[in-house]
Amino acid sequence: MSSRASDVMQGYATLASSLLGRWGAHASEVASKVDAPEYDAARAVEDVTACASLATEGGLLLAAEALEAFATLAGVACEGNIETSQRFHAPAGAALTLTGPLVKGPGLASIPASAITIKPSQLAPTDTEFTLLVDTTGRRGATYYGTVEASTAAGTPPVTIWVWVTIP
Amino acid sequence: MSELDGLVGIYGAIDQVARNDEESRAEVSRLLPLYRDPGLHWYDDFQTWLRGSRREVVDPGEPLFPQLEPALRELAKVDPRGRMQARRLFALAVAARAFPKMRKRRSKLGALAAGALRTGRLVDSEESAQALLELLADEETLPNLDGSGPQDLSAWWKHLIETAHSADLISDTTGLFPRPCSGRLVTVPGVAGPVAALKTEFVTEEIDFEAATRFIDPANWQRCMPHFWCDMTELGRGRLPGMHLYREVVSTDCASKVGARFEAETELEFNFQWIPETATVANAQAAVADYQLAYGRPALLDLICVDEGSLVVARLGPGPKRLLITTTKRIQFSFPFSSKAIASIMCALGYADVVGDLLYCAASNAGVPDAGTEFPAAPPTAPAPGAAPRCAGRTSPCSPCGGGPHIAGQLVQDMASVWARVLREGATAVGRGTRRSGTGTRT
Repeated sequence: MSSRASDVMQGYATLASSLLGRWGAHASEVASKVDAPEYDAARAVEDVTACASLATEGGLLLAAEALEAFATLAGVACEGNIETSQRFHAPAGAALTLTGPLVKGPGLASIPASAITIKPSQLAPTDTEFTLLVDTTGRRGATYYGTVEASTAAGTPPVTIWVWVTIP
Repeated sequence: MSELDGLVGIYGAIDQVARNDEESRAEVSRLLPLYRDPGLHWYDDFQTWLRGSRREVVDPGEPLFPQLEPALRELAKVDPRGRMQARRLFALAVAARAFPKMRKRRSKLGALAAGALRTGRLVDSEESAQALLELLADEETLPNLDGSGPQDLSAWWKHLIETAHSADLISDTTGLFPRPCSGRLVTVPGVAGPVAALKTEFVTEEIDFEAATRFIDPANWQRCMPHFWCDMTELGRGRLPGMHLYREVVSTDCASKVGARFEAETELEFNFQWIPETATVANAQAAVADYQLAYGRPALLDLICVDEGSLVVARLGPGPKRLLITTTKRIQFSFPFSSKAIASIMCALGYADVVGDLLYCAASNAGVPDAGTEFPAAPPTAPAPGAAPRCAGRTSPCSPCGGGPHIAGQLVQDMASVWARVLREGATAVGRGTRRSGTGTRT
């Protein structure tokens, strides 16, 4: 009896053999449909990786098959969930940026910075608190940690703040 | 019958009356908001599932867990320890809504409920037991049916416990916080039906950071919570550096393997981490324990299909004693329960109540030298090249895990990275083509 994973791997093998042909055939179709000036490559990748099916919107069948395979394996539906971290503290008025992904541990799963929003990313002159909003779609239930860099006035070295979020 | 069997029986009786009586359901939903969903009903399926998993033949007409009155009688014989006190109080508070006769002092149910409160560690006189039961059933401080009202459920519980304590109805509040069954349900789509994810957060100033971290290692759980964790033995290192492998056996009756109505066994991999990674207990901001099913799980006949989550003890501010304790647990059983049904089962079993158990353990051992165990975080090390999951040395067949949700989940993440790269490269080309196409059409 074949396992769920082997079924999917077989699917990928089949997909891989026709990948270039399919991509070539559909890329021009997508190009003709995705005509909005603000719709660029980065937006397309964000859409796909955030489980938005470009297949239905733009005819990008490759994305659909990839996502379908993910769903076969994980049984995940493309639902968005946002988790809020606890409050962290930074110098008042600082501009805040993530220094990289949040990780579950060395060499373990991670959440890319693109799936994380710092709220607010610019602290008001008298504010010191911020939180992280994380798109938990497809993430494992775990605690992910990393650092945020807090920059204040020019010439002042930025401050590194450890942050984490626990995804249920 | 064990104490936990009695509590499950009470929650089962509540579920059955809520199913058949709309008014009772509405009353129950004031303390268990999941019952606002008129479709929630879990107890029959729970018993069907457990009957099917038992080795011996069970009469399908016989309830697995005691019904309400026998359950109350049995509880009267057992002195609750630790968190079981809070669980008993909360179960009786819910039961008093489901069964209005329980609120009447001279009724049979009222007498039985008072009897379940009149035990050594809770209250020691009939008068105090009756007074405590009336307090549990009190309507004034409870939120309204629509969730609005004088205060939320956490505030209601705090008020209840503080009032009982100040009236000398309860002598010791250790282990009574947070409110049982207070986890927030997050539905996570799963492999064969939904997975329930529960998150509990609690701020405390009762214990200090170091003391709390000494009870994170699951090796303590069996000592602190022997009513449910029958075994939590470390089996050795996990498949990646820093991981620890544990055997978990949970049961409603650890003392009687044959008589246990619910018993489940699995293996979990834990990863322990200070934040920052190189910190020590003196300067760490948080201590994190993450766990998930070990490779090879779920095995063919396992009752637990998904079991993963976190336990986080974090400092709130510079002092040692203001802490935020967070636990999460994702769980799926080998029966297609709805996520709300799973959450209800977790409430009845106390499976997701690690925050309460940890707080009780730490608080009741305060000042005891070397209580608990040192938090087992290891210095961060990168995984060895090619450190892939292996099944060597395992007695359970590996094939089921190959198709299970966890290995699949890791594969999904790997595939996601691969496909994101492919798509990024491909989409860049599309983006260029789109812009060229757009330019072309405009000119």
